[in-house]
Amino acid sequence: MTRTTIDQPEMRIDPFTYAHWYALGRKEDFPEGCALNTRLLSHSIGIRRDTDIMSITGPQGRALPIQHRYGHVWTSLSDSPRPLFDIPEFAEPGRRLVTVGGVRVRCSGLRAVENFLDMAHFPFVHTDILGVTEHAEVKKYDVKMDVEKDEIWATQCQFFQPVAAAASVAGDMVHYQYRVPHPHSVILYKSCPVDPDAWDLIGLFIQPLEEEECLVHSFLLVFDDNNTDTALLHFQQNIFLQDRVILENQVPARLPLDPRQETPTRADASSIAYRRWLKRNGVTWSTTRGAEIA
Amino acid sequence: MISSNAPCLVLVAQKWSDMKLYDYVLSGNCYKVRLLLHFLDIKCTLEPVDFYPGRAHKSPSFRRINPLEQLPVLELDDGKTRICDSQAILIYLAHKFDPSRHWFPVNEPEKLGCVVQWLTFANCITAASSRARLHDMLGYTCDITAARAHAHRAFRHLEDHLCHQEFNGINWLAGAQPTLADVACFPYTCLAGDGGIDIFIYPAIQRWLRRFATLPRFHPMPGINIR
Amino acid sequence: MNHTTKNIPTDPKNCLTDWVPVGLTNHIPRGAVVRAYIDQFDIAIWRGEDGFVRAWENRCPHRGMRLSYGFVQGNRLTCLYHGWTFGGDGICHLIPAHPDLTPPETIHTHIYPTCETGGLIWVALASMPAPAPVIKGAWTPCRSLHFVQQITLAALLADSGLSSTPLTEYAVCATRKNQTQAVLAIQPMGKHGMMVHCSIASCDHEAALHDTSRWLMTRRAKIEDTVPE
Repeated sequence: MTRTTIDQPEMRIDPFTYAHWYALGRKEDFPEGCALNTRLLSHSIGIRRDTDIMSITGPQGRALPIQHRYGHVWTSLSDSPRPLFDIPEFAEPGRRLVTVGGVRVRCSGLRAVENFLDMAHFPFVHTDILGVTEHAEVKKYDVKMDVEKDEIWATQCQFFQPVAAAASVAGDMVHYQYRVPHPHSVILYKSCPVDPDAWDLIGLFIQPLEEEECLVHSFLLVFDDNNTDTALLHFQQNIFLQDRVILENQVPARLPLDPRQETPTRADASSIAYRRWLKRNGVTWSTTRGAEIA
Repeated sequence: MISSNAPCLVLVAQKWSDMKLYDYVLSGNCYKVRLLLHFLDIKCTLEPVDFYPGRAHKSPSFRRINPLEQLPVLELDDGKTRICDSQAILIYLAHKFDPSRHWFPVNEPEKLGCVVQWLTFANCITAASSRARLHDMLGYTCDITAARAHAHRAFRHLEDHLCHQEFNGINWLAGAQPTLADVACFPYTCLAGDGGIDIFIYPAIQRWLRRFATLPRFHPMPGINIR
Repeated sequence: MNHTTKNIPTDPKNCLTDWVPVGLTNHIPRGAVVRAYIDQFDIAIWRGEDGFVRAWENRCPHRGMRLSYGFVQGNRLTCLYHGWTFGGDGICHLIPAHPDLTPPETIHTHIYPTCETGGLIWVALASMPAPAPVIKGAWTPCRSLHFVQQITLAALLADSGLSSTPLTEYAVCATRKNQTQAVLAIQPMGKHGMMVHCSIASCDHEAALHDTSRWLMTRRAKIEDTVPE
């Protein structure tokens, strides 16, 4: 199926998807002396680390670029990748970074981004944690393009949550912003329970393995003095594994870009903008458009 | 509707405890202990362990808690005694906190034999279904085809047994009421889909899972969506 | 994959090929939803409190979530993902994210006709199927068994010592040497193999259920030993 693309991969990957950096895991996942194989956009790639020098090889033994950012190791198949997006909050003092580890999901990585942008599922999938069925309404929010940076922002989002974060004790209206700076990465800015003027960050850096399989690396970057890293880790893994059942049971597994294939409502404004943005940038990889062309 | 035949619990006076459960949120074996704690209405401190990605269960400090490097571990309220192995913990909790003896029928030898038989069988399910799940979900290496085939062999046996129990009007693995046998076999049967094992082909198993989820005080975990 | 019924051929002359058995009547009690396949078609089947069985394409029109993960309340099915709630007619009545909105009637699931006879639930993929089958008599659901391979009814019965009368393309009435009468039905599921459903002429003996189940298990073991995977 998707593995047959190994020999002629560049032909099948749209330029926008091809040109990005992708996270392959946390630095700790590649200890000294390791030699691991993984997949990226249907390519086999090798990762080696001798002492402190890491090398990544792609198709035909080609050396791929590496950078270490946001707690993760990144690479690109492209010789001239687009610059990796900036997350200025990583430089702010007082924040704690918890890297959650990669979780494999049998679906398009684009479906995982879209699910992450979605508030309407909180009461049904994350029942009694991120939402309750009695407060399922999604109030109108704003979606705009940052044209200069070519990224999507959803702002003025709010939703009732009984346990908004590991540090929460009671239910509250929680405020959010969502940012999509990359077709396979998405960041949530969530009102911070311990500091009303600050945002906590939760994000996904998705490694697309195949068109219908991805490895989701996620992180929290929060102000929280009450919970251990392990408690935060369990909270986030609990949430993401609730989403995984959904993601593995959406049909088709690839993201439909034809607006007639599924039925969005106003609550899906960020998903609509995301699909349009992908379409405008000519994305076919991991979408139903790709399946049609193939 | 199918009646759940839930045991009428005789609640012990002390519903809180100073016990501590070394726990991983995504583990089906930890979940079965949390489930029984819910059923018995016992509060217990949870000590989260960074099983993934940190592999904290392999650390020297955790090896002092359980040299087998496995979760869950129940630390009793003396702060010293520790019970490892999920099935052993289930037996301890039922014996200690369920005076009705429904969950672990120590006074009915034949039934007790059946329950223990299924507690052992739960390990067959775990060995196959949990292995496939760790492979598919967290990237562990294993022979995934063999793991799924083993799981299907186990589920076929479970299906046949549950079917024959239903012919006799019996809804549970080891009798007319749910026991530790059901608690032990439920998690990795219900989580099989996480490891790419389809269980919609086992109708009696599905009916049993649905009945289980209607038990009073039932609590799901991520990956379990029946209600 | 094609999710519509357009390409399913319907032969109006042969009223017995449209309807495929998908399970025993007691497998789906009121308030339950299950997943079933007919060939490569993924289907959600559920029974409302009114006792009627519904079969829908297993896909919510909103974001494609399998409806078999949903839950039944009264005579409505609610999708697990966003709580979109559909009536027995497949029309969406509630979108919880917009509680004040009356959803347009254009939002609906894809419905397949169903019927129950012979202790079995039947589904037709064709939108205008032939009349539903009727199997006379009182039948008690026995059990359903999964087969790894897909085989024909003829292969299932070959060398079994049963005398059988065809009921439909997918079902026969079989009489065993001990005079037990059974409806044997096959459900082809493409790459998922096959289900064999069996109900027996109503009787009070649980022994007959056990006996029939053992017979089916022996049959399966013999077939799976001889037919290569």
